[in-house]
Amino acid sequence: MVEKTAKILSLFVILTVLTVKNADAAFNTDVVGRSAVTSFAALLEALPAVPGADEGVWVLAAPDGGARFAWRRDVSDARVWDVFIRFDARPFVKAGLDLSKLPDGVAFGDEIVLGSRLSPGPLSYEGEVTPLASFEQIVRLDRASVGYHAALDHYGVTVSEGSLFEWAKDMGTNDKDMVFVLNPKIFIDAGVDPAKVEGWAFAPVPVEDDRGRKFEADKFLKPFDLK
Amino acid sequence: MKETVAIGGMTCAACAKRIEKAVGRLQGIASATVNFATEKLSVEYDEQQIVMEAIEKKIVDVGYNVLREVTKSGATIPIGGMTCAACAKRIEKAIGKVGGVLSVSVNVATEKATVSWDPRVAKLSAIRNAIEEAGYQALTPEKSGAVDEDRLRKEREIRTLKIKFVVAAIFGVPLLYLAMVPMDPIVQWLWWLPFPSILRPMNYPLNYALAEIVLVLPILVVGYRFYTVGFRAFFQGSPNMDSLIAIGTSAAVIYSFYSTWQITTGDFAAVDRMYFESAGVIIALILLGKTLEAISKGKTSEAIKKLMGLAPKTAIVIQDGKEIEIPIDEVEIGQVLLVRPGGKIPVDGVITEGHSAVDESMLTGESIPLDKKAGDRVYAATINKNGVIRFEATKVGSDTALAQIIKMVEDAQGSKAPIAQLADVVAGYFVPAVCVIAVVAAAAWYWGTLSVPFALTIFISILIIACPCALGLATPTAIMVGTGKGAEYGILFKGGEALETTHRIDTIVFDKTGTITEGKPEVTDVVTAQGTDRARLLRLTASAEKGSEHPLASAIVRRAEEEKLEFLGVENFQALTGLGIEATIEGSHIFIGNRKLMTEKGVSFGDLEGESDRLAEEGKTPMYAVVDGKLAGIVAVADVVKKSSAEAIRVLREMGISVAMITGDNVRTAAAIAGQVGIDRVLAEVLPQDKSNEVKKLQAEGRRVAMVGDGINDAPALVQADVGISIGSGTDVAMESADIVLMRSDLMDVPTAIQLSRSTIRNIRQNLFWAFAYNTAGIPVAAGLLHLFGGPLLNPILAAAAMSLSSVSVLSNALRLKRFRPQRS
Repeated sequence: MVEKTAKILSLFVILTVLTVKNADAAFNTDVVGRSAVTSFAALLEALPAVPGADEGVWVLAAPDGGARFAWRRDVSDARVWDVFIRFDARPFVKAGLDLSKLPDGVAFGDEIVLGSRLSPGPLSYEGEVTPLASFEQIVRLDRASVGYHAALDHYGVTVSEGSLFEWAKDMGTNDKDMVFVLNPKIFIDAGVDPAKVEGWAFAPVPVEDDRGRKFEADKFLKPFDLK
Repeated sequence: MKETVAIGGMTCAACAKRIEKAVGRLQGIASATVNFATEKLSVEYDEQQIVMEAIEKKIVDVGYNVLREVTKSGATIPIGGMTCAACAKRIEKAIGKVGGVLSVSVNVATEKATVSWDPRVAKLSAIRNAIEEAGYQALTPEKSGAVDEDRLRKEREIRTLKIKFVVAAIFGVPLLYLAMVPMDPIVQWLWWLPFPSILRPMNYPLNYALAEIVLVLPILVVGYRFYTVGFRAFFQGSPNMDSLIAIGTSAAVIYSFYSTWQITTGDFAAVDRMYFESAGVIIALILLGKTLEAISKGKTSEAIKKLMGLAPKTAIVIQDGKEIEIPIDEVEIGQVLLVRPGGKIPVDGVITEGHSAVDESMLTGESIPLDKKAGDRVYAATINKNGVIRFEATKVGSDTALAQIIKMVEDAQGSKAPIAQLADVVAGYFVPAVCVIAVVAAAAWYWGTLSVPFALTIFISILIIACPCALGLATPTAIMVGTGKGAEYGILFKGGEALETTHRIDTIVFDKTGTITEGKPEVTDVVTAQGTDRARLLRLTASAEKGSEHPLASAIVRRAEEEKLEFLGVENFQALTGLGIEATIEGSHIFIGNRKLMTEKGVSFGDLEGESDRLAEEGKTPMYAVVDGKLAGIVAVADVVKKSSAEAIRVLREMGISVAMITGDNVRTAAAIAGQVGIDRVLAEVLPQDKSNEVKKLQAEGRRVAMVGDGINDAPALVQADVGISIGSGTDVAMESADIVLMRSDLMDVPTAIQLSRSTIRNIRQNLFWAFAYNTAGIPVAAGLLHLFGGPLLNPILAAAAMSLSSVSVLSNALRLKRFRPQRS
């Protein structure tokens, strides 16, 4: 019995080591986190980020200028949001949005900002503070905010409940390299007719909850093909 | 040479078939039959061509274990003369040198040696001698006992299975939870249970996969037997149930490892293609099924355990005028044993001293204790009710009547009924066929959907739901319970075939003498002539007949003794061959004899003419008593009908069975007896050698005939009949020739045997129906037939649950037979 158990255990150890491919993977099982950083680097290469007007953030602007994704260089020093998306409110207003009915801190003039604080933690930049290095801080400090969206083969950063900034895992094979994803609830509650929002698609998207349960949810989508 | 070997590691009927095939192919094997329920191989072989070791080696080669059924005896022997620890060592050494001693431990403080030994090799007396020879006194053992290794082995097996199942469940439940929680909406009601965020399948797919691996690993370890046995059988070309489980779950595990590898390469969606939980939960459920199966299997052999438990563990032997209590295994033929009131008789023997009433109900079912005196036989396990008796052991160990009964029941339980052949044939082809169906169905679905996970689900589900264990258990378990139940009623079926054939019987032929009748002539009527006193007549005839050895004379003497009449002095006794006797009593000249004697002597019947005719009409034998030339009366003697005969025949007729009686007697006597018990078909004046021909004639009419008899002359007819039934008071030859032995002389056991056979066969049919239904209905569902038309797809886990349930339901149904009660109207 002992010998047989040892044999089975050995077989499993070998199989497990082989399947996790290399030693690094064996010790760092966060394959999504690692891969998210790699693919975000590819996105930044295709669409470089720039320092925002507020010196503390990096900004990745959509090619049409209608929306931007921003993330803070030093999350421990965050005054408002550590990650956020900012986009033009006018298409929503035209579709019936009553800005006063949006939750506090969302409407800023003609723009809407959806963002969130990340878990503050010690910063550990090694070398230059680059957009990618700052993104790596997000992955390190608040890994839960970064996820993989299997339905679109995207990674995403949650900026507020149900709203995300997503980018393609592999830009070479995906026709949606970068997508702004909005939870339509606050907008519909504030009078928006989803079908009338120009520049944003309104469609059901397969998503999953925090227990991994899959379901479909309606979203506003603003996708971009950067190729 | 015929031997029975206990086998370990069998899981289904295909295993049994596989062993039968492997052993059967060896040179010198006449027959090899494996009973899956008892897990025993009965093998008949030519010792000149093959040895038992070669047969055992073959069993091991094909992947199973040969279990040695060692019966271990044990005793604690108080020792006198010990002074120090060195003495203990010395005694241990001395005992250890006795061949067959398995363990010995001597405690200096208590001055006792605890010894266990193989009773086939060592004897307690040899151990005690060794102690004495070492210079110490071996005192009378305080307590000794035999341990039934087979029972312990089965208990161990159940305990091991339980532990394995508990381990599998401990890891299987979280594994299932991990796999099921992300599935909406199946387990939405589990919302309140925590789910670690670092195991979210899409965010941490590798963590999720590794967690499943960690959880499935212990389950696969406890289920390793399925893989070692299953793959070996598969690669040797005889796949069995284990092969199906091994292939199905291995496919799930290997594919899940592949999915894990894909996750590491960046295909995170592969997390949706993990089947570790299927493999783990399937193993857990099958272990649960096996545990329940082992427990239920144990219950099917309870009857035999009861029989075994009847024998006492010790006996009191008279040695040098002293009473010494020794283990039952130590009793030898010729030893004189003592049994006190209330004690069990340990072995078979003949009473040498004392008299008592002995309760033999455990052997014969006869509830009234029998009076036994010096010269009478006593049997092991019967109970001495009220007197102290000493008897000489004549049969010990496996030769006692109890041991023979146990062997007969065990042989019957181990034998196969013809109906089992069907299940065996199906089981033999079933597993390979299922493998083919699984591959074809999976390939077809892959071709149709291009989805490996979907095809894999189909593949695993088919393999798991089609495990034919229920099929293998359907017949033997019912036969075990049926034959065991028969033994409880004193009905010994000699094999599964007898049990099965009995239910088809439509005609029963009863032998008359000793079967329908008591087989012992008795005085039925005492008719007196005018002026003669009844007691005087009986006293005279009995006194005169006392000198005769004729059975009819014995009946008259017995009646006089029963009526406590005093015998008179007899002078000038003379037997008149073929006619009767003559004698002189108290000066009176007496003739007693048949009608022919009366005619010869010119005696007139007078008023008794009518009575004489009536008695003859009733099948009785009138004996005329003539005192001093005048007819004093008639003493009629007849073989009386047993109390239960008429009732048994009525019940049989109500069951739709034709009843006939066969006898060598004249038509008149036969018709009289038949009339009393309600038989309308009488085969009279049949010579002993022609009885079997009469049975043959009935068979030629298309009837299925059972013959019930007790005598040597019935043996050919018992063999000729489709089912031969010998009754308890019968001869050894009749019992040897019969298929069913009724331990009592009560004819009501005949309808009981037929009812039990009918119930057993009905139970087997139900079992086979369920076993086939599970598989035949389960396979198309597992193959996705319903899914093809928009219906559900069978989850492999549900397939495992259904498969385990099929075995448990078949066993539960077989156990229902334990509630069998004979119907009397």
